[in-house]
Order: sequence, then C-alpha cells, then structure tokens
Amino acid sequence: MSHARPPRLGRVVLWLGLRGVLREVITGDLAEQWSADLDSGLGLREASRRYRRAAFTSVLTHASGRLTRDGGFRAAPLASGGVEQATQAFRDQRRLPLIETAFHDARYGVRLIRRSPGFAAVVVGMLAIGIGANTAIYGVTKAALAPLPIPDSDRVVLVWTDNAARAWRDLPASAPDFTDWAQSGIFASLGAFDDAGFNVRFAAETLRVNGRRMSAEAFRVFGVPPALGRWIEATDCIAGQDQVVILSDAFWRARLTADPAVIGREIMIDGAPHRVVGVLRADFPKLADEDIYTPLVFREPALSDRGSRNLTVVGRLAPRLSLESAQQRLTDLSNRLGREYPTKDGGNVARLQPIQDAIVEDARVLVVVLFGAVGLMLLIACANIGNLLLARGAARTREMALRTALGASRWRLCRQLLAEHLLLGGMGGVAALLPALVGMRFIASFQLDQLPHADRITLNTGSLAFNIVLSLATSAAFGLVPVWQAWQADARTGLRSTLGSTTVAVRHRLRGAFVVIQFALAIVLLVVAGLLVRSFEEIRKTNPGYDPGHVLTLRVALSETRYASTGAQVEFFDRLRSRIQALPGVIGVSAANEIPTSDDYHGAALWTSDAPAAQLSDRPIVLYLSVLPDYFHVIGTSILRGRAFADTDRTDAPLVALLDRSTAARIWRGESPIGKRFKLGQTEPWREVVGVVGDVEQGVLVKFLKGRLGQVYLPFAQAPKPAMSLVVRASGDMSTLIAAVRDVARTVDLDQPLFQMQTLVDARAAGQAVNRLAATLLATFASVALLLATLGIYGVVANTVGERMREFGIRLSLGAQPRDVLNLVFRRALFLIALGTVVGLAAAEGLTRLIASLLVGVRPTDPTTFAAVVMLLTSLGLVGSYLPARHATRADPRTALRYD
Amino acid sequence: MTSPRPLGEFEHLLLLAVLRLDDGAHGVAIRQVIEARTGRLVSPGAIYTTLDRLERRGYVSTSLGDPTPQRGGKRRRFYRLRPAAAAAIREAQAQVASMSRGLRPKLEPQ
Repeated sequence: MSHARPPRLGRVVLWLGLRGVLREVITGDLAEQWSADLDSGLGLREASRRYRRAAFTSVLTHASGRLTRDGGFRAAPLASGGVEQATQAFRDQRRLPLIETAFHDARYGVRLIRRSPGFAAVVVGMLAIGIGANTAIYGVTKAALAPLPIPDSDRVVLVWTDNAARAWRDLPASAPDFTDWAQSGIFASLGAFDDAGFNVRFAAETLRVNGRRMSAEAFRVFGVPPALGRWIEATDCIAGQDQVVILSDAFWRARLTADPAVIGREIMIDGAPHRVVGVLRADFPKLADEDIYTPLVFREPALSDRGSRNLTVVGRLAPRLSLESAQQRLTDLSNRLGREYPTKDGGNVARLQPIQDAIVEDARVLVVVLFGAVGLMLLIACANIGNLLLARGAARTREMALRTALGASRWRLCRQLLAEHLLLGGMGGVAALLPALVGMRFIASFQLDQLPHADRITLNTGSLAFNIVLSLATSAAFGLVPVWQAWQADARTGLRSTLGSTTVAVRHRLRGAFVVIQFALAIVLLVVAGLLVRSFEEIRKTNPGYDPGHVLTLRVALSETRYASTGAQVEFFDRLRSRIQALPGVIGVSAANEIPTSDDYHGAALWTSDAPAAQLSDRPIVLYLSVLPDYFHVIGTSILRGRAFADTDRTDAPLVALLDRSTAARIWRGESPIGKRFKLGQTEPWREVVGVVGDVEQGVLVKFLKGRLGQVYLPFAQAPKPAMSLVVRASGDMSTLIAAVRDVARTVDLDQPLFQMQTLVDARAAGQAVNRLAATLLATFASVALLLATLGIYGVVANTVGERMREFGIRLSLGAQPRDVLNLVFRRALFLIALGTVVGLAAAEGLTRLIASLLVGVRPTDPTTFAAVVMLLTSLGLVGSYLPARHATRADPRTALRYD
Repeated sequence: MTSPRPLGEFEHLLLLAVLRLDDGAHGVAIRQVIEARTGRLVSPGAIYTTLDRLERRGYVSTSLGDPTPQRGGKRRRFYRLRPAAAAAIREAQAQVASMSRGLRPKLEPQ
C-alpha cells in the first residue's frame, strides 16, 4: 500500500491549477488524506475517487474564490516572518497559474455570451447542426469500416472470377475451380461457402434462418476460434456425416437462451435432426446476416460442373507470398484452365480481393458522398459564423482599441477572443450530440447492406472524441478572422468614431469572400443533392411494368428432403394457392421463383434455333424465372402477344416459354416470335415461345451490375424451384391478410415457414434504400446549406447598408433617386452571388463524377439539375439581398446627417 | 484589527477547529476534526480559501512544517489563532447567545 501513489489525474490537476507553497501544501494534505483513507480500509478505488474530487474542488474553489474577490489578482499573503516565506509568497503571485487565467477568460466569455444571447444561440445552433451531422456520419463510417476481427486479416482474400470479354465481374466459383485453386500452392488454406436458407423447427413454429454452408477450411481461414465447442471439421463435410450445425452468437442468445449446455443438442433443420457442435464468438465476421452454419458437402454433378458457380471462395495466402505474386500465379492458372476448358472457363480470370477491401468497397461511395456533404455543410456554417463574428468584431473595434490603449497586450486580447470562441465551439459540440444521435439512429434504421454492423452505430468514445476535436477545430477556424482583426487593432484609429477607409475596405473584402465561398459550397451541395433526388425520382417514377399496389408477396422455401420430387413441389404450391385463393378479399394468387425487385438473378445464354452463333460470348444473356399460371395477371403485366401459361403447361406437355417485349424485339427483330424455339444452354431442352409480355423493371442491383437484361419466363411445372415467392393480389387491409395467409400455410405444412412477407410496394422501396438514404440526407444537408447561404448574403448586405446609411442619406439629399441607391447596393450583392455561382459550378462539375455510380437515369452533368440549382440559389440570394437593400432607399437625409 | 464584518458560520467553525487543535492545526487535521465533531464533510478547497481569507483578515497566522514521507515529501502548513480571532469568536458567540436568549421553549420539539 505504501508504494501506491495518489491517482495521476488528480496530481496533474493540482500541479496545473496551483503554484508555489499553496501547491505544495494542498498536494501534501491530499496525499496524507489519501493514505489515511486507505489505512481506514476505504479501498483504493474510493480513496482515489475522493482524492480526484478533492483535487478538482480545491483548484476550482481556489481559482473562483480569488477571482470573485478581486478579479484575478491576489493581495500578497501576510507572511508570518522569514525571508524564505516572503520570497515564496512573491513567487506565488508572480505568475497566475494556467487554470486560473483560463478560468478568468472563460468567465469573461460567459459574460459576453450572456450579454448577447441571440447571437450565441444562432452560432451554437449552426454549430450543433454542422458538428452533429459530421459526428453522425463519422459514427456510421467508423462502424461500417471497422476492421474485421480476423487474425492477420491482410493475408485473407476473397477469390472472384472476372471475364473481361463478357463484362462479368465478381462471379462466384465452381467446385472444380475451387479444387484447382486449393491445389495450386498459392494459398495456405482455401475455404468455400455458399449462402443458404434453412427451415429451423422450434417447438411451436418453424423459422426461416439465413445460413451458410461452409467447408472446414473456411473456418480455418477466418481463424476466429469458437466460443463453445468446435469448428466444422473435414470429417463433417462428407455426405452422411454432415448433420451438424454451428450457431452464431446472436442466434444462440435469441433462440436458445444462451444455454451453455447447447453443444450436443439436436435441432431440426429442413426436417432432419442436426447436432449442435459449436457456437461462434460475437465478433466472428459475418459477411451478411447469416445465423447458422452447416458443412459444405461437394456432390455430383456440381463437383465436376465448371459452369455451375455458386461458391464464394476465401483464402489465406501462403506464407511469404505477396498479393501481387499470388495474383500473378492465379492469373497464369486461370489462363491454363481457360485453354483446357474453353466452353466453361474460357476467358475467365480469377481475381484476389483483400477481404477488408470487399467490405470497404461497398461503403466507399456512400461514405465519401455523405462525408463530403456534411463537411461542406460545416464549412458553410463556419463561413457564416466567421461572417457574423466579423460584423460583431467591427462593432467591438472600439472596445478592443480602448483596452489596447489601457495597456492590454495583443496576446491577451487574442487569447480572450480565443477563449470566447472555444466556449462557443464547446457549446456547439455539446448541443451537437442530440442531432448526432438522431442522425445515427436515422441512418442505422435503413439497414443497408453497404453499411454493415448497423448495430454498432452508436455514440461511443470514438465519435465523442471526434466531436470534441471537431468542435475545437471549428472554433479555431471560424475564430481566425476576429483574432486576426484584434491583432491588427490599432489604438489610434480604433478610437476614432468613424473608421479609416482601408480598415473598412479590408473587412468588406473579407466578408464578400465569405459570401462567395458559401455560395460556391452551397452550389456544390445542391447540385449533388439535386442529382441524387432526381435519380431517386427517376427510379420511383418509371413505370415498373407491373402494378405493385395491393400485392402481398411472401417466400416459401421447401425442404428438399421432404419435397424431393418435382411432382411433390408442384402439388404443394397448388394446394397452398387454392387455400389462399379461398381467403376473403383475395383476387388472385400466383408465384415466381424471384419477385421483380429481387437482387438474386438466374441468368443463362440464350441459344436460338435459327441463328447459330459461333462463339458462346455472342449469345445474349437473359434472366429466367419460373412462374405459376396467372402470374402476369396477378402482378398486372400485360400479355402483348400469344397466350399466358395455363394449368395445362405441365411436366409432360410440350416445353413452352414467354419472352418480354425487348428480348423478343432484339432477337427476332420485326418477326413474330410466337412458335420460335430457343434453349438456355447447350445441353438444355428446346422450348417454344408461346407469348410475349411487357417489360418488367428488374431489381436495382441487377440493373446496376448488368444493365437491362432480357427476361424469359418458364412455367413452374416445367422448371420447378424449391423456393418460390408467392404474389397475392387482394382488396382490403394487407395486415389482416398477412395473418390469414400465415394461418393457411400452417394448415398446409407446419414445417415450411413463410418469410419475407411484405407488400410489393415495400419490396420495391427496400431495393432503393441506398438511393433513398442518400437522397434524403443530401436533400436535408442541401436545404440547410441553402438557408445558411441566404442568411449569409442577407447579413452581409444588411451590415453594409447599416454602415453606409449616412452615405446613402447624403446621396439622397443631393438628388439621387432611391432606385440609384438600390442599384448601388444590389450591384455588389449580384457580383458576389455571380462569382460564388461560377466557382461553385466549376467545382460541382468536377465533383459530380464521384457520385456517378449512385445515379440511375441521370447524367452527373445533368443540365436541368445544374440550371435549377443556379436559379434557386440566385433567386434566394437576390431576395436575401433585396430586403436590406430596400432599407437603404429609406435612408433619411436628416437622421443620417445627424449621426455624429 | 477587528474587521467590522462579523464571522461567517463556516469561518466560525474553522477558527474553533484551529483553536481546538493547538499546535497541530493543519489542513487534514482541521478537516478531520470538523467531520468528527459535526458530521460535516467539507471540501479541502473550501477550507483553504476560507483560511486564506481569515489569514488576510488577521485572524490566523501560518507557518510551514517539515516534509514527511506520507505526504510525498511535501511540507504542511500549520495555522495558529492570532489574538484578534479570540475576540471575534467571543463576539460571534455573544451575538448568537443574545439572539437565542429566551427562545429555548420555542425551539423544543413539540
């Protein structure tokens, strides 16, 4: 106990806050009290807490006690004898301790702020919005870009396949590819996984759970040990031994009450018992929202099919192999495989992507845009505050000059101003916490894939530290000009009642510059926001080719062990359909294996009978969907030619298909496609076109990756899929319908859960969440910027008019018309606005390229947006300057001349 | 050197504590004796500023003691009453006594 020392923070406070004998005595007393507290059995924590508290109160009461008494200067203490004490006492007062002077400055600052509360409120309000928005975006970014908790994560890569000739990127791998790569020696370990959904049975209900089938090596690559039990081992990845499961931490907590004895328990997954062998740690890297993991078993025919690509491959590079040389070796290997298997692997090149990049890549554009926007907004706020301070600085010139004349040093005056600004900045920072919190909640509520770990978006120490740093930096930034002004303050000119013309001119130029900057920044922000909003509107307004209103969609994924045969699957959906059809209010029921808004796509090359393409790459890629009869009627897409599918298009009937309008037009030009034949791959059967339907809008992601692709529809009975999305058109309330449909599904088969239940309208909106978030936020930021810029020009013009009232009075009395005065004021305002606009347009033109990838249907240099923004901003700027300018025309010569 | 301003309540307490501690009146001891006798935990800061004020009003004098190891080699400041303090204490107590005379029955708990 005797080696322990009092807490460092307390000692530092004492050291900073006190001087001389006082410091020595108080420090000693507190140390003594501290060890007495320890000896009395108080415990180190409590004793230290008391010490710190005593240190703070000592310094504060001491500082404030002296200040309240005599404004910062202390009479020499009555030393009771001894030269030493007298000397010490003199040393005591020679320098005011740091904290004490800071305290003094702060008190003066508080007094000034209380004297003009309106001014302070405006400044703090602007800061709160500016800093708050930045803090929120910082928190979001921090959470999104947090490094994965994988050991040596820079050695871990994802392996994608690109095909430059066919403009394919980021294709998953086939099992043979994976085996070839694993044997190449490029990777220390190479794992594969694919996404899967599982039907997990609990006592009373069956849930659809997103999961992942993982090869044993995949866990080894991530290298994060399980919290309980073990990883999946190679022996689990053998058919027949694969009925084991690993749970995520969240799933274990939510569904199994965090039962520590869960290992060895059996859970029913897809109708078969699976033994729980492990529970992962909470920080195990999730790449999506998966909750359970089962072994990945390679089976025929996928094992030898190079065209069947559904594996995501993740690897850890071999020791001492750089990313570049690994990529080089992998490219060589790909080229060799391409030559060996030209039909399936020709032109394909495997590409390594560091796993951290994969996460950052998705978030990058969004984060850059949002940070750019809030940064600009804060800059505009700073320019505005700088402007306000400049105006106030002018009003305080006399005060400063007077104080200089009375002997205050420049340094002292500047420090005073700095303290005032820091105080304002600090208040702004504190006030910013609320907007920051609201902003974070708002952004997290979008649940974007691009911003993973939404749950980690909080006001943590990191974002608080950012907030503090930003508040300080901001106050330093907007405080620069007034401080510079005070530095320049000249006692002689300042005390004159009217200012010299050079001082005024410099100030006016500065304020003008601020206005130009504000307008330029506002233009940039408005253009970006305008483009995003227009792009969002574009997506929303375009006719999707179907009628999403009053359509409920829900997904069913049949367990393939229970419904193994096509017949059983067809029969299940028939039964479910007829039961739902019987519900009150239901107009029609059908299903497709993906709804139009889905980001999952199934594509194939289209082979036509009469156009023998020599090259695989010449064949158009189309998306294909399996649909139940009535599908087009239910979603509201019209049949343009021929017929829709009927119940007679069954397994044993001739194979038929429908095309969408653009595919039909592209392939058969002007000819009628009815009766033509095509197949989806060399070994696939021929199908006959029986009809043409209208174009249906595809999911945002599909559009984004591939542009508009052709669409082919197949009857479900002739191309069955175990997972289908039902579409139910109904009149009346959707929420009662949801409950009714759920009940009906239970009666058909309790083990097959319904999930992703939503209206088609919501499904469409969800697909556009990124665009909506970006558009909403940017529009908000831009509106604030617009308001600030308008206030800025208003303030500057009003101030100029105020200062020149006398001059205007003289002009008017000498015969000038009010219109001339108006012109005089207006001309300058116009000049500033025009300059700001030109600078802003140039900057915006260069910057909008950065957001090109977020835009759909609008070019980054969209002239309409640019023109609209210029119109809006200039007209608001003109209104902002007209109001004070009109005031100038009312200058009364008599009052104006009576000024002095 | 009697100040025209009467003693404050806390000043009064502090002077009594210094008086009670004789030669041993330093910060920690003063704080402890006040806590022991009144049950009030006072902040060190309040003690120092008040004693500082009392010193300037001529009620106490101070001297520095020797450094001791449990204080981390720091010296103590000892306080002693000056004659004016005794007069001030008497004065304050006389005022209280005079003001409370005859009021005892009214202060009894009902």
